[in-house]
Amino acid sequence: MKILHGTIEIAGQMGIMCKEFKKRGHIASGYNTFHSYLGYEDHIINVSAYEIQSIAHHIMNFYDVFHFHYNSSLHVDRSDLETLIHKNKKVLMHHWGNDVRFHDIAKAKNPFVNTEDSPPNDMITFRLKLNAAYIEHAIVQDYEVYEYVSPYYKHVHVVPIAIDLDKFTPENAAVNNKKPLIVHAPTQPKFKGTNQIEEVIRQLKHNYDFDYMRIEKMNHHKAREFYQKADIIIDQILCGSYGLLAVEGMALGKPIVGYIREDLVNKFPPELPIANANPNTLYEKLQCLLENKDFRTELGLKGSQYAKEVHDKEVVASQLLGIYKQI
Amino acid sequence: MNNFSDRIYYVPNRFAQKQNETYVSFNITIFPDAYLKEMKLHIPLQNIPFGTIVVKQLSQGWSETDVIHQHHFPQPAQLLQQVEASAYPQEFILPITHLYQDWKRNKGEENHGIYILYPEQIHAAAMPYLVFYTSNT
Repeated sequence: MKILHGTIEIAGQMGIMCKEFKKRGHIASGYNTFHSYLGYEDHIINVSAYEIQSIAHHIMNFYDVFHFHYNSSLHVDRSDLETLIHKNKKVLMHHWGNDVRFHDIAKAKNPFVNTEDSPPNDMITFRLKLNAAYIEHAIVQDYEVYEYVSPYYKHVHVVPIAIDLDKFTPENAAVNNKKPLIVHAPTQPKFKGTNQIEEVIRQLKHNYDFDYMRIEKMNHHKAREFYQKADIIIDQILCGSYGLLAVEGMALGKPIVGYIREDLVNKFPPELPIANANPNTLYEKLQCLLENKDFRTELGLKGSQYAKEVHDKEVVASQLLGIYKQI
Repeated sequence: MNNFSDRIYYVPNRFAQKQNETYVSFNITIFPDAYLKEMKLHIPLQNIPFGTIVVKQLSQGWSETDVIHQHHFPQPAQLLQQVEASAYPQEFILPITHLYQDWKRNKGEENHGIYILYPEQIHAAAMPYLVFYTSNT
């Protein structure tokens, strides 16, 4: 198959998947128009929206499968979608959360969620209707995002975030750290609950001796070096589901703290190894982890196993290729 | 199973066909130099069981609009390779790493690209594509 991913790189996913597809003998390319300090570049082609639009007609002729991300496509006005369908190409839209998180729906189920980074509801609706006029298949990473898009698409597939485990070696930081190190790495602090997290950190500092590091505006490759040193990683405590930081932390064998919405807990594979904490329970959860090194080690071991079984790029690629064949 | 993880694929930025002739160029200015091992032009030859394929460099600037609407075709120049299609049932792969620096330096229409002449009976061939073989796997 000739597979095209584009045009917004989220959490390194396009690059990870294109690498894996190529490893299996497919022709695969990721075109990325979203350039950030995170510096994703492996197995993707970083271009401008103008550049990709200027060669879109050749891209549309060359590739068989078009896997778009975050409400993007080759043309800014989405006019390529109709062309692709007329050319009988396979087209999917992969939604990642803030591109489709309806404010009222999210808040109805989760009093903690911050939806400031999502567009207005009417814009989300407009974009979903436009996509669904041409695209039958959508992909989401979990059931928190599923409910926003399921009314619009004929088929919605839940496919976990992928991680390249070749780049992650589980490590017990306790061997090297004199004091436990807690790491939090928010790309969107308000969405992740950084203020609430750091308020709890301040309170804990009165009674416990530990280090805290907030990682921001750092190249992803460099940030991973700091994750490796952590004893505890805090993902997010507002959203209700976990993201890439949690997955990478699990792959490194670190205990992860994050908020999983109560009604979603049994939608994940059994025994999801995340210490579930919202703003009201974060203090107790961190207290427990700081006081109990064995519990941290146990959670970390479960996390690395979970990352391998659920998030390994090989597992995720097989799922995606199965979906591509279905369309 | 073939492992292509050391490859990066580029589609043309200009592509035009006139009966059995193809004109194609690639904008490679965005490719990161550090990763390059080789650059190769892949010319699909399925459904072309016999005849001669001639590949030349183009020495004049051109645009898709000129070619398609005004029939202004650039002149092919230096011969790069000439092969018999029967020897390549799937595709002919032409190493052109020696053109990399020139194509990288020259942006847009100054990078004139490649001319491909197919056997006479071919009226529309599949689009050639560029592959970078990299050190990044």
